Order: sequence, then structure tokens, then C-alpha cells
Amino acid sequence: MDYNNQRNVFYSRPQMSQPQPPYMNTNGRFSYNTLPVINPMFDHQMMSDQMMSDRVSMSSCGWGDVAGRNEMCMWEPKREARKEVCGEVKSEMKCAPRCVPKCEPKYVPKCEPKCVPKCEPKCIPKCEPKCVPKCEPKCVPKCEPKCEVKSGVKSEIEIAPVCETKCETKCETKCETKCDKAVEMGSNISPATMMGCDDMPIAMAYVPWQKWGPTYPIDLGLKRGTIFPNLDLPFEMGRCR
Amino acid sequence: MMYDCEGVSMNMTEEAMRKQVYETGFALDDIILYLDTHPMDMNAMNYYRFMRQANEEAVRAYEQMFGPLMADSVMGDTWSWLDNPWPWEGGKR
Repeated sequence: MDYNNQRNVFYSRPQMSQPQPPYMNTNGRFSYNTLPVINPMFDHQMMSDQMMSDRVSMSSCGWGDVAGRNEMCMWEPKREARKEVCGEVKSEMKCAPRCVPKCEPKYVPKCEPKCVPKCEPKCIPKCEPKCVPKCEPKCVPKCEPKCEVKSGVKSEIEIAPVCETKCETKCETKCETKCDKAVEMGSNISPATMMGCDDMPIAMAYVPWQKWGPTYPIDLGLKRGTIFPNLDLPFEMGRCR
Repeated sequence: MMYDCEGVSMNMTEEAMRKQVYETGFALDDIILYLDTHPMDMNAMNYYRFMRQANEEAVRAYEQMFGPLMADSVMGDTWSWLDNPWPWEGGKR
């Protein structure tokens, strides 16, 4: 038998008169109510190994694969019926373990490590607390009685010394060191807090759109730094008040 | 140097013409900035056209009298860019 012809014979799907739902036989195989017509020239003995492997690959395409069973089933004519030349031949379903195609390992794309920019740690300036010594003179009066004995007079009665309380104000300069708020590294103190603006209302600003208007003469424009009089505003240096 | 017996008045003329170049050039720069944010303003566009022409005329008049202001505005057969004094030699442009 010509191999190619055989291939053709083999690969042609079995011609079923009417596809019927399969049901399970008592031996656990699947069968059909109406048996299909199979080419009687078909002979499994003629199949080469190559053809067998082809058959397996063919079965992997799905024909004869019964849902729910891990087997590949196909119709095979009974031995007695092989000699019949034509006509409807009874056949039985033979099942072979289903060919599970070898799975190529899934291609997992090699992921290049994402380039994460190295972030330099934010440089938060370390603010030393500003300390200014506040010095005020503190004066405390120191009073001591000073007694004088009036000399020159001698009597039997001893004259009591005349005492006067004399006070001297003694002053000492006492200094207290007052420190401003310092921002420690990593603390959550916002610049607004630093500047003491927490109690101030949030600003809303409106910037008017410049409109065309009269322009300066070019010599004045060069002097003023703009040809637009409405942009000729004084520049005041200093902080906002 | 194009000084002659009337060097002083010539110098004054050079200064006045250079000033004209500066003034028209500045006005041109300023109107360009305005047009960047007001591209549809026809008044500004007219001003730009007028000032561009004024600047070109001022530059042309100055260069005809006193030589090129920029190296790429040298016209003629010789390299006149080197004729005038450099800033460190007292040149003012």
C-alpha cells in the first residue's frame, strides 16, 4: 500500500452517517448508537512508527478525544469485518491514553531590573537654634545698719551707739538665653510654622491678564526696562509685610 | 576708526545711531515677549512689524557708517570685522 495513500486514508476522518452522542459502554469505553462507516482498506498493521506518531499528533488535534476522559478514542473495525470490501462495518471504539502534548516551558521574559534612580537623601538643613542671651541688670538693695558711737562724751551711762540703716543698691547683670524655634532634621515642622505663619489665612491671588495699551517711546522704554507703562512698576526690595 | 577733523561730532553721531539700534532692538525684544502670550493681538503684531523694520533700518544705517555690528553682517571684499576697536581697546559695541 502506498504510504501516502495510506496517510490519506488514515488522516481522513471516519465518515459517520450521522453523528450521535456517545455513551459509555459497560467496559467503560465510549460508543455510538449508529456506527460510522470506516474505510475497510484501513489496516493498522500497515502503520509505521512514523505514522503512529503522526496519529498521536493527529489525535492531539482533538478528534476522538472524549470530553472528561483522559484518553484518545477512535473507531477501529472489528477483526472479522476487515475482510469486507464495502458496506457498513461494525466497529468498536478503542481508546488509548490521550497524548498529552509536551509542553514547552513557558517563555518567561527575562525582566531587566527596573532602573530606579538612586535618590539622594533630601538634604534638610540642620538648623541650630538661634540663641541670644538677654541680659538685664538686676538690682537688689542691700541694707545694713551702720552704727556710730558718739565719741568724746563719757558718762556713767554708756551711750548707745546711734545706728542708721544704710542701704546700698547692688546690681548684678543676669543673663537669660532665649532661643528661637529650631528645625530638627527630619521633623515635620513646615516652613510656614518656622516663619510663624500658621495663624495667617490662606492666600488667593488673581493675576490680571495684560491687555494691549499705549506704549512708551522707545528711548523711555529702554530706560524703564519695558515698553509697557502698566508693567513699569517700582521694584521694592525686602520682605512681605 | 572714522575720526576726522570733526571727530567729536562724528563720535556723537555714532553714539546716537548706536542708541537708536539699542532702543529699537529692546522694543523688538519686548514686543516678542508680549506676543508669546498674546499671539492673536493684531495691535501687537503691527507694532512688531513696525519695530522690526525700524531696527533693521537702524542697524543698516549704523553699519554703513561705522562698520558691522555682528561678525555675520560683514559685507564687502575685506574682513572689516577687525577694523574697529575691540571692547578692551575702547570699542563700545
